[in-house]
Amino acid sequence: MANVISAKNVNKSYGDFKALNDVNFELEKGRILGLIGPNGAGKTTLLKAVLGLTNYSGDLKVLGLDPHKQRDELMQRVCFVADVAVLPRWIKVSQAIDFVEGVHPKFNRELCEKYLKETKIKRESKVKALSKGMVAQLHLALIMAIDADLLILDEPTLGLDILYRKSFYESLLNDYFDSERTIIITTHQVEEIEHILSDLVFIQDGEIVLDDSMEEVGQSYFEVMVEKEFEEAAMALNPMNVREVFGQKVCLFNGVERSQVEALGKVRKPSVADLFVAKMRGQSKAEGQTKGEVA
Amino acid sequence: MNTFVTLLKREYWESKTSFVWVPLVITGITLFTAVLGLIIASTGNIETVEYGSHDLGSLFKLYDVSVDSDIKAFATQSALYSGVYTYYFVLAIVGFFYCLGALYDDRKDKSILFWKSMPVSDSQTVLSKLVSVTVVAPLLYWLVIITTNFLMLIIGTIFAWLSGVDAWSALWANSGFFKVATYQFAAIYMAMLWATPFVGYLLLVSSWTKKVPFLVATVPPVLVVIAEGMIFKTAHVISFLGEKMFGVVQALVAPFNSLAREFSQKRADVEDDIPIFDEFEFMSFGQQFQDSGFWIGLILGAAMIAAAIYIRRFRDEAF
Repeated sequence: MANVISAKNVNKSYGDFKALNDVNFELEKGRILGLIGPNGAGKTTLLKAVLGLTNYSGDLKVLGLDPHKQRDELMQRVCFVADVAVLPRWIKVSQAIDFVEGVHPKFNRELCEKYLKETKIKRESKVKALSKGMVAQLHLALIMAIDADLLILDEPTLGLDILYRKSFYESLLNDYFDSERTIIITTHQVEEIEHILSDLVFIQDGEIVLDDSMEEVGQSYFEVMVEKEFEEAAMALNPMNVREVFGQKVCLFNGVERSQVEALGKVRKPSVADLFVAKMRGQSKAEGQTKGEVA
Repeated sequence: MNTFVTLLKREYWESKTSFVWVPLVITGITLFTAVLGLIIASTGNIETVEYGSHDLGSLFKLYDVSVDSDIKAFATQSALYSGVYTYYFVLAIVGFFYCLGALYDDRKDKSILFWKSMPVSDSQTVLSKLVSVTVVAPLLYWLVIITTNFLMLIIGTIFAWLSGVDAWSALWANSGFFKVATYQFAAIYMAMLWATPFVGYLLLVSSWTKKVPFLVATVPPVLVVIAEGMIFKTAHVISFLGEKMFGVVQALVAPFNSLAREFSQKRADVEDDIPIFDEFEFMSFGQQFQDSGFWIGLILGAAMIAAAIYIRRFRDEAF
């Protein structure tokens, strides 16, 4: 089966700044990928490259197409929400619906109306009269009513309240997602999406530092609530990260057998947020070390 | 095709005020001053002057039985035709700002990311804006002009009734309503063809500039003209620009020229002593089509529009 995205040695520089540094990754059909990284790590640049909004060097195929050269064909099958509140301020809600219906052959008006029914958005309102949350709701309703093969959501729920965020991710999973579709999500509210993800990619300084399926993550990363008497033993196993909760050390391990750590205390799957923090810290620690060695 | 129609609708929604309401306001002012002028002029002995977009003075001559019907026809037709100048002037201003904003505003407010998330090619987007300003807007203005012409004739009719004159023979039979409408239609689109290099230039600036398109579009040409004058002591750039602008004026005046020619030929048959209405130094449409400057302008316009599309397509967009 062809991959939805296949990136080989993708590079992108802005002057001296390397926004993407030899990025390699594959994404299969029917997955939900969480693309996580700190601000300025290259998430957006990577998404722009995938959407054909920027040029790059290297080999990148999205749905078998070259996104930069075959952008027009690609946009028939890919949808994206690049940023909330980018709907034009002058447009009326009804006009926005008419517009998408007029230009997108895969737009389903009934579905869009159904999503909008759950909101308080009036058809006659102009976008500038809507609250920021409503604009995001409208944008998501428009995009989710399109039967796309690949949906890219860049911070889709920024500015939305917790109730809507929950119901958005629920309907994304239950109504929208199926085995024919692929979704990429970036967000800073990782904990809200981790239960719907099937794949995880961490990106830092333009490089991919983690690329695993959630099952693999669950099998190779363990978080252990270390009992007091085993603290030294735990440290000997060289945990990626140690934090303290109520005076008890919580260690994150990678590259050890589950049986090895089970004796130390209660073992559980780490949250994506904790894993992310550990990875990012580990990365900068490693960098610090290399720099130190050089000096 | 459906996509393109939707794109044109999109432009219409966004620019409804300048495409429809602005000309309608001019019509409102014109009609109001016409009625007001007629009331004042008919109650007192006041010389009428030009009000709004139409010359009222000529309307009064219509009811003077001593005046020849040819003169009446010429007066009515040129009065009705003259509306095109006001409306085209406003259309030029509206079009100027429309073009400057067309490929800039959505980049500024980031809504380009929404437009670019739709399966619409950038050529289609840019061409939809070009068609909106060169075909749709002039059409809407023309419809307003002929509606205004019609309403002016209605006002004239009411005035004729009040004065006890037969409105049909004095007014409608001479009005050449359809002829004038056709001339105005032709004039507006011919003028648009002459304006193509300006449209192309403004769209290019709109697509390229990162800020204040108005200054970016206007300052460099002025500087180039000044620099050319100072360094080379020549004025090729300004004369080139002037030639194209004159083309627009020429296109608008040419139909009036035809009206005048038809009239003076008729008069020449009746009386010899009347001075033949000398043609202005304006080219007819036929001559304009043979003018190399006209075609150079069109080619330059097309090239700049192609460049605008290229920039729109391949420039990195900030998220």
